[in-house]
Amino acid sequence: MKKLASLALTFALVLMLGISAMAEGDRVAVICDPVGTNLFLTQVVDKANELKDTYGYDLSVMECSDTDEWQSNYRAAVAEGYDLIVGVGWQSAEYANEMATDYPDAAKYAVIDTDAGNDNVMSISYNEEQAAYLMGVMAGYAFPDEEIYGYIGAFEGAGSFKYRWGFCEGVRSVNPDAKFIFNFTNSYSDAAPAYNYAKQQNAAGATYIFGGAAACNEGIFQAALELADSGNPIYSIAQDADATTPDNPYILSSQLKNTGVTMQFILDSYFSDSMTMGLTVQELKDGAIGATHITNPGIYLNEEILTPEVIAACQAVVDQIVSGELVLEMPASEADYTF
Amino acid sequence: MTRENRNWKKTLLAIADGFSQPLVAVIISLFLAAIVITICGENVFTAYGAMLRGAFGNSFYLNDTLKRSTPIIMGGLAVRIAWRSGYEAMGGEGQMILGAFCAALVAYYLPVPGVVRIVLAMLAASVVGAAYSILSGWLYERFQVTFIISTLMLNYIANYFASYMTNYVVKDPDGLDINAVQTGKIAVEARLQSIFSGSVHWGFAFALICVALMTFLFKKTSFGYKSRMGGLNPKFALYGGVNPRKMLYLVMIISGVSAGLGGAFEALGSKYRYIDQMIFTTGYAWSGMVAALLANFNPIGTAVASILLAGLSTGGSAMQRSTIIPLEVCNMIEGIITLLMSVRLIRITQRGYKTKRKAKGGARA
Repeated sequence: MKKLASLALTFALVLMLGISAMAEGDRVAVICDPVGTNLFLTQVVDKANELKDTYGYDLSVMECSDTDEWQSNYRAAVAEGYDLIVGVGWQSAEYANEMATDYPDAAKYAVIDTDAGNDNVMSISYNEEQAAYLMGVMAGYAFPDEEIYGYIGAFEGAGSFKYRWGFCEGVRSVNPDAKFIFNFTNSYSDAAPAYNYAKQQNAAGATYIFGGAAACNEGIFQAALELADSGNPIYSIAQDADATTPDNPYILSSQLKNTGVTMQFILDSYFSDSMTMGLTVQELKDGAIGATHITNPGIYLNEEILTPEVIAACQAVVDQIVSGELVLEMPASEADYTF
Repeated sequence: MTRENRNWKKTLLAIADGFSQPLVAVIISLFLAAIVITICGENVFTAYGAMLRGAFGNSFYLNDTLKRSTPIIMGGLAVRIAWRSGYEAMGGEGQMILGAFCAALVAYYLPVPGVVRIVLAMLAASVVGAAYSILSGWLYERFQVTFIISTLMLNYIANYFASYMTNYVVKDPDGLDINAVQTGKIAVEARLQSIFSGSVHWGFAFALICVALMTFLFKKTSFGYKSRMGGLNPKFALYGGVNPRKMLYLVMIISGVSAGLGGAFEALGSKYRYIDQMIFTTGYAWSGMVAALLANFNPIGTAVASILLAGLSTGGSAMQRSTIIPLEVCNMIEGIITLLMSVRLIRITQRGYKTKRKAKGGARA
């Protein structure tokens, strides 16, 4: 029965590939969660749109609202004859692996921010703990006398451990007695719980809150503006792309994960026929991750908090990491670490 | 006309009733959704063409639609049983989550041959679904907790329980990505295989068998009659000798088994594991409820409406893939169509016709 199924799908593929072959130019599919205002995804989509004219490809952004759509869109992208299929996020690992195993020649496959564990897939992931460590160092130097530091993340799974661990270790490298409060929004886009948690963490004594909840961070930023009006400001950081702005001076920096650069790298590799299959891990020294005002320029610098001394101290840590003088060795699991 | 012919005619009319309501509603709602598409600057025919092709265009897409409809049908049947019997339970989602979770674990861990594992996984999903459903029945009977409150809360508990277990206790040790909160992948021999080709699996065939069984159970057996009477007029049913306590638990068991199996089919035939939030984000149980309501609790109509709702979803994805219409607008169009489908257009038309006839008849008299 499985053979029959494979034969039928292969027939459908051949038929559709034949039809699509008549179309001019390559066809590129980007499969991801709903894009919305999530900077992690908008960087990919913007870059893919930007390079359309350069390379002359047709682009389809397939946004997946649920787990079933991830599976369906991957199958459909192969069946509809896309030449390059780029999955963004951990959900793409399994389906990219499945498609690359069953239909290795139907398309070229790439995934961003995950590892498909397949030699037919170009997998690119990041050492985010290095950037999170920098954020912690920055918080430690900017607020050295704080007893409690806040953290608002999206999900409390093993996936966020490297962010939490990096941040805590960074703060403790400056302020060894620091304590932490953690809250999770259980969403990448719901700003309301982040807003409430920010106010609660502030009431509990936190002045600096690590914003690690993707688009939910907007709730923290809104709370920061309101708390500042009442004379009790909090400071935070954004994720993925520079979000500093003079309109909200309480966003001190951004933990950068430049998925746009990664998308360009994939497209350049594909069109120059030089895709490196297998896993590539990008880190601080590659420029794919970093921090606004430390490794990359930003739109607005709050000089009262991020003084030249604070920035210089953080840049010294960057140099140590890049040179290999400082090696961040993360515990194998959360159970081996005390926050 | 002979009795047999009359019976056939009645059956055909029942089937037509099941089909016609959703279809007429779809046609009217497509007109309204066309306005939204035009505002987006897309050609209406291009958009609908993509949607139709993506839902039923060829065997590949049809497979996808039927696969997606499988848990919706089972969720619809679960609602149909409970609501027709007078219990407005909305716990299908929680039962489906636990069914999928347990089925995935049994099929992954149990060291027995594949087919036995499938059977045991489906059995486990049925038992867990029924037990969870009975819990809400017990809360209702013992503490007068209304079904709406108890089942909604139990849905959250089931989702967070499965989420916790998947995150910290039974997470796939060989997962490709540390962020992938899911159980281990079920071995090929313990999966529900494809029926002919593509993604539709034997779970869909089982779902259709369940539709037939439900139709028989509720139309041809005394249990069906008693449960229906309990729903229509509880006092009359009690006076007629129906044991309400026994009926409550029986109905809850059948409803829970149906939802639990829906989850099992999804885990065994589609995802081959339990993925955190896989039932919650897809909203299968809620789509099932909409399907049952659209079909006026007709089991065959519920299956048809489930396939249409699944088609709307897969077609919506296709429309988003191949047009400039953004995902949010595609979801809105799906919402418009679903909303319009909820309006009982056929019944309104029939009522209008009957009123006119009555008025006409009255004048003659």
